[in-house]
Amino acid sequence: MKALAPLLVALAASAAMAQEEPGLEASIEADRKKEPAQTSLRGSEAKDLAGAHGDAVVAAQMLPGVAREPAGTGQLVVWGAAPNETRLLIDGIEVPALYHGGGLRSVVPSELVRRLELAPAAFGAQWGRALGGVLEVEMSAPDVAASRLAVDPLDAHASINASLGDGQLFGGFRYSLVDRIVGPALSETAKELFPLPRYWDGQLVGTIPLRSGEKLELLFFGSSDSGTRELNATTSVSRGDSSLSRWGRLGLRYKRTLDEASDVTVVAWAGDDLQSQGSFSGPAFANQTSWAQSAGLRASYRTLFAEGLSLTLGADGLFTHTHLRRAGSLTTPAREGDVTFFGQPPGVDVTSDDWTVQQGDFALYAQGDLDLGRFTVTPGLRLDFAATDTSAIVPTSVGSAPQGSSQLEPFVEPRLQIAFRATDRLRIFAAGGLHHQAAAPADLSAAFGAPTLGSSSAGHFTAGGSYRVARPLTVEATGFLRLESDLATRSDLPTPVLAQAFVQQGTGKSYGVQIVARWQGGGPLSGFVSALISRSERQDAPTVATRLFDFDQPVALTAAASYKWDRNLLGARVRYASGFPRTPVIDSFFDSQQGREEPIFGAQNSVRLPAFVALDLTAARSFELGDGRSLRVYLEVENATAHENAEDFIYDSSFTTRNIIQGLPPLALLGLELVL
Amino acid sequence: MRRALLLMLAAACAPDFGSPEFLVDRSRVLAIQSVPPEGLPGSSAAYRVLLAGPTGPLDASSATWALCTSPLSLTETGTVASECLGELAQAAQGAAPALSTSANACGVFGPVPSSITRRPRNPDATGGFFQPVRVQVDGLTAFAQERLQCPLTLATLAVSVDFQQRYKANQNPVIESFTGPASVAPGAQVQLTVSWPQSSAEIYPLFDPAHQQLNDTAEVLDVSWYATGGSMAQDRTTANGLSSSNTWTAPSASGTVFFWAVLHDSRGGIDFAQLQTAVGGP
Repeated sequence: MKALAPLLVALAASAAMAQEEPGLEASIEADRKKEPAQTSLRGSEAKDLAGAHGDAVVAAQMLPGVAREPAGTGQLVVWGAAPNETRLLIDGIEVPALYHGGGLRSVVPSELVRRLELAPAAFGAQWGRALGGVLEVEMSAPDVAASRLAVDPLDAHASINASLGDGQLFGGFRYSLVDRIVGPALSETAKELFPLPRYWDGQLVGTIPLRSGEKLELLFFGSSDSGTRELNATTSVSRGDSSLSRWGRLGLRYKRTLDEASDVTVVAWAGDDLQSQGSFSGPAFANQTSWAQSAGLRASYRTLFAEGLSLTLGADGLFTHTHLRRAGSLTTPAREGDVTFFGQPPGVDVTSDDWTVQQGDFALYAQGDLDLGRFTVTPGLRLDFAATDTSAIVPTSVGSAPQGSSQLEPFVEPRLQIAFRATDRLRIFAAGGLHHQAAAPADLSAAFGAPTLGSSSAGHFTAGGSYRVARPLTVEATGFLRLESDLATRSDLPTPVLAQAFVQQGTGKSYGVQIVARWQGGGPLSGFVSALISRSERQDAPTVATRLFDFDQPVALTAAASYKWDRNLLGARVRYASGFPRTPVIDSFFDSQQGREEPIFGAQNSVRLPAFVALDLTAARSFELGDGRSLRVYLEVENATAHENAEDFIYDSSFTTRNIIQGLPPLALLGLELVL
Repeated sequence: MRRALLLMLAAACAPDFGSPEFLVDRSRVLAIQSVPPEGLPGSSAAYRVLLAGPTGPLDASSATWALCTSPLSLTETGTVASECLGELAQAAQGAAPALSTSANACGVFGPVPSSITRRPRNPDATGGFFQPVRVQVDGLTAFAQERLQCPLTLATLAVSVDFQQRYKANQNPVIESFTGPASVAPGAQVQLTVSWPQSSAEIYPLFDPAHQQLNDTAEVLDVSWYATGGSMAQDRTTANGLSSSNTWTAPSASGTVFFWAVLHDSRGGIDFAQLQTAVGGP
């Protein structure tokens, strides 16, 4: 905590200086016109933040409201919501992941990122299908025709941006190097604990100008991640895991600006996803593969309906066909709420299933912005129809044709946002709304899950205010409450009902306060300090006790600052985060058949990992090489103080000794970016 | 493009994993054998427990035995239900008792639920269903898993009949020999070998529900190794033909070291044997 003090002092001190420097740009900003508590971060600034490795989208992991992610996962835990409850979008197109394995690198090159927008809760009617938040990456091809080559120990990336007539075409490709460069330096044990990712991604963005105020963009992006590892060199019984994730999106985005207050936007896209993961330990195994084809359409029309009232009307549809195959243990992989320990082998039970799921979700929405002087009222309504069709309602019996199931769920989701401008400096806001999210196709197996699962629901409520202390400095506090219901949890019956391995009886509650001090001036110094104090709980069934959410993080503090002058940059980031809850192993017994000790767990999620503390530093300098060419060199040092952070508990084979798996040691990355 | 890379990666800190699995540095249950290892629900089996400590084999005559009648819930990720760790009616006492599985074990632990609206249990990779048998001795808790002969479900009548005719209940593998030197010099590396007869790796029909067929499958055998001192190259080794070997490095101090080898077959059968060697001379 002491480490935060110098940054706070620096921010406060430079606040006064910046008042005399008009035109300073914000590095992180609130945009009340869109969502309460929404945080926006410009791509050009995001990539310079310490800890981002020069990757703008990686900076989203440090946005206010985002818990410090478990190492090596790239998962976003927003205001106590599970990672799969937050929708990820690139220019309005839904994507399964924004990060490559490990979360060190995003799937979008920084030069394409115009802005990151995170709405952690209570977002407007234009968004749906998410119990948590919405994170959108807004892209735009660079204005200047140029070629870029960038390399650092993580990967190499090349891109070309060219003018084609009145249009523009951007193409980029990235390939990982980390497994080749870092791999040889790691011990076998380290590689077992932190498998190095192998990945690539590619992008193609074409801009076609049409009439005045009219633009058509062609978007293509694809990503691939794979990894395998063999575990435990002390036994010849094979043990390991593997994963593969490949997906692509092809989209068209049309925007026409009709006048200052009116525009039309249409985004149509199609995608293909392949996800596969498996683990094995001797004869025990678990693997799952899913192939999904999806298509989405979003259209919105915004206009000034009357004086002081702007209106947005839209439609939002998504169709997904998913074919899944799964075999192995019912309880592997573990899901949120499962009591497990690090490195737990798959369960010994075996079953298999091959099923398909069609899900269609179509919504019509309307949202108004009513300007009532000091008050701005934004009512919204989303009418959503979610249809789900599964191939088998019960495990297929011998000689019987599979009998599928279909269900249609209508949802009326009111949303309301109210902002009150108390003074020129003080704004108060409140927002709330109802949200839903369809069951995951992987949960709709007759053998592994429950084909009749419906959608889960959530109510979001936020209230807070922002106060501009001095022109460049704004402080904002937001309280939030998210109530979730009908969550899919494992059946706790001694003998579950057929095809109901999951039941919808889980509930969740997340609440807390987020405080952010933003440097809204820009200039040589920019930065923010954020504190998230929250609690997130789940109750898996009405008859069982409430427990802490697996990703509960009561305190998450981040301070980030960048100082730019001439062609130089210095940046620092300090993070403090409570450790995630864990279920302790309090004893063990010997399982003669497995030939190993098995743990006896204590109360679920009753202990925590030690708190995480890290200081990251970055420095960069650009060199003009003439003829429009430039070279940028950056050096980033992560965990500069060599703090021994705990990423998880690990037990010895007898469960008598508990130790911690340490996170990153001090890590220095030198990167080069050449612009031709 | 000229490029430069700098990576300063301190050696990733590998956590201390505690005592190796093979090392018997405290009282431990190393194996429980049931004879026979597989039977019909309600049938009886004789049990014997291998209890060992840093000084060698330990007396298990104070062991208490109980039958667990609770199935593993879907909310649990272990190998036995948490109820099996609580109060259970004592069924027997001593180092080598006989216990009978529950008459309804195929309903509770197997593929025949009490109602067709209930979910049948999943078998293990060998098609087996098991009822846990608990032993408590010297403050330790251990479980044997008695394999149950349950009918096939999700199979055609023809496949079920064929299965009944061809399936033979599992028999324990047999350790034919457990060899190693009678004495070694401190720090010396020696090879320990366990061997078994061909009959220990039984062939059994494994039902494939997706293709409605029985596949003749050979049991896979592996050996867990234990020692009271020194170090083993591997905690567990797989079969190499009809034997399996491990390399043991003697400790630097003189004394007697005990070894145990526990031979597992993939259907839950077990055999074990003991060996001892004098480090620093006979």
